[in-house]
Amino acid sequence: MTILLLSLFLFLLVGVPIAYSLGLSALCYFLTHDPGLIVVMPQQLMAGMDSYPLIALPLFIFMGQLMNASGITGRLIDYCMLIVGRFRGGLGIVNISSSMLFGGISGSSTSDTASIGSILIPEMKRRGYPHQFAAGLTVASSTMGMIIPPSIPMVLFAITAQESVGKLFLGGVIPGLMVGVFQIIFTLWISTKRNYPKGNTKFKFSIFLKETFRSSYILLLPIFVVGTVVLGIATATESAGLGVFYAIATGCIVTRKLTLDKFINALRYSILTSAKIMIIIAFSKLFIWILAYERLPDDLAYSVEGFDLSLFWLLILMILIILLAGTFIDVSPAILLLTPIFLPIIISAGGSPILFGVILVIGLAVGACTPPVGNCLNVCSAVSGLRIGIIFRGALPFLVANVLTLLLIVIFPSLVLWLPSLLMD
Amino acid sequence: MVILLVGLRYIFNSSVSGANEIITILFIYTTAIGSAIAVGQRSHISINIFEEKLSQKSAKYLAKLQLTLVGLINLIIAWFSITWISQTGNNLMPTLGATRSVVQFSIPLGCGLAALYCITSAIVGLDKKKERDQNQASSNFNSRDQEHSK
Repeated sequence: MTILLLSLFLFLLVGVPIAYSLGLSALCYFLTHDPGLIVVMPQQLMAGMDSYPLIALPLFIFMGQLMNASGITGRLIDYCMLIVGRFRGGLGIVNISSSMLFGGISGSSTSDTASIGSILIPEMKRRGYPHQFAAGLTVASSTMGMIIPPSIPMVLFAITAQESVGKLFLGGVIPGLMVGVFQIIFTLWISTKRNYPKGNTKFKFSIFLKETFRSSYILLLPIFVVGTVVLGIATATESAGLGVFYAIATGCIVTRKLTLDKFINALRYSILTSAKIMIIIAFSKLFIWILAYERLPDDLAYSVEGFDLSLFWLLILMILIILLAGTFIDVSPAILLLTPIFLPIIISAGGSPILFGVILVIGLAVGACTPPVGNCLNVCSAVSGLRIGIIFRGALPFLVANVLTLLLIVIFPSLVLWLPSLLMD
Repeated sequence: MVILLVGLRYIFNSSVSGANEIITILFIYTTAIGSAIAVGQRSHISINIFEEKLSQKSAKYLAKLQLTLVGLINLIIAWFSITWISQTGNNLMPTLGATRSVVQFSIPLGCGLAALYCITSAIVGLDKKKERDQNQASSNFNSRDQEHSK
């Protein structure tokens, strides 16, 4: 077991891709324990990929890419500007509320950072907001893309933990909204204190109704995707497929911005992105097989029981580990590695897998915004031209909202569990 | 096909036999070939904290080491998958009735392609490949620049 973990650490450190680091460490383990077991490698790789529910993953990525290519970002920002633009720091609030809505469409934080950041960061800078504030807020608000359903990391967790995708989606609704509300409060407070500009938009209910109707094709998508899963009309895979159909119809008929070039680019991006995640899933299946073979999750759960920790302190301890792991490991591999180790411990302590899944995703979303390994920071750095350290300092006050939400859902688990039990139990 | 299946189920109360298996097979092949392409593009998810702190020369050696390790694991898996397919490949899939080897072949194909990418990169040389990529990027940039000036 020591060989497995030490070699994994070593391979990761020298920069071998995570998927192949998992495979190489498994190879080291087999060579030192029982070379006859090497034949298990292709078998477990196939077992990792041979799953119909996993097809939801590339389809959700494709759906988000298609909607993005259909030019929905500008419309979303205009819609949010109409509602909240008139407050002090209005563009900051527009940034957060656009991320809330965009999160319900893309399911990914990096595409949220890229699409909203490329429009709003230059605009905020032009209207007198500090560059660091604009970039930091964009990165921090993009974390909602992972939390608000449909969420790609939630699908990944649901498949890894063999839990209901619908329950996970519903579990993320209230925490996602809480993160958004806390970030809006922080933005209002900071903007008032630093005297950031006000927008000159005027709110009229009739215009609001008209714009809501005009944007309804965007606003309906998350409700449609989550609704079909929750109501049992379609599985997560089928729902993602219907979402792709909806996105194509929107791009071709409603916005008319989805060209063949954009479609092919979105398809190519989705295939490559999902292949990069899927190969980690395949190799992690092999890694998890060895962990189970060595009975590590059971032994760990047994050891933790010996400490006699309450569920509350256990979750706090795990949040700290998740936040730390998130700074070094990307979201998908972190979900695949931490779930099989931590979930048995949570279940044996009487905790809910849905609660743990939501905590894991929110914690790792913070990790995506922290250096040295932070995908959202990298994307934002490319969009804004600022260094990662500067953006991180700008994002830090808003990431407190995520940590605050994490603490609140540990204290009040019903914030996560209420909606799934109301609509699905 | 996924959309078609939902439509058929709700509108015509019917289904296409074996469609789920076909979708899964296509998905597995897409993953196997896609991940091999990602090896070629060196775009797989990895942790580069250590690499970024190295000098250019040391980083070049480290990149060669990474390529060798990735190539090695892919070659080993491709090799052992042939034994595995010969042992279990004749089993039939429940609905389609085709042999499992149809889907199992994706593993040696994907791993073989990834290993081939690693060997090609090692022969062509990382420097030349990088130089070629840079040249291509700058020519793309120049052509875009010309388009803008027009």
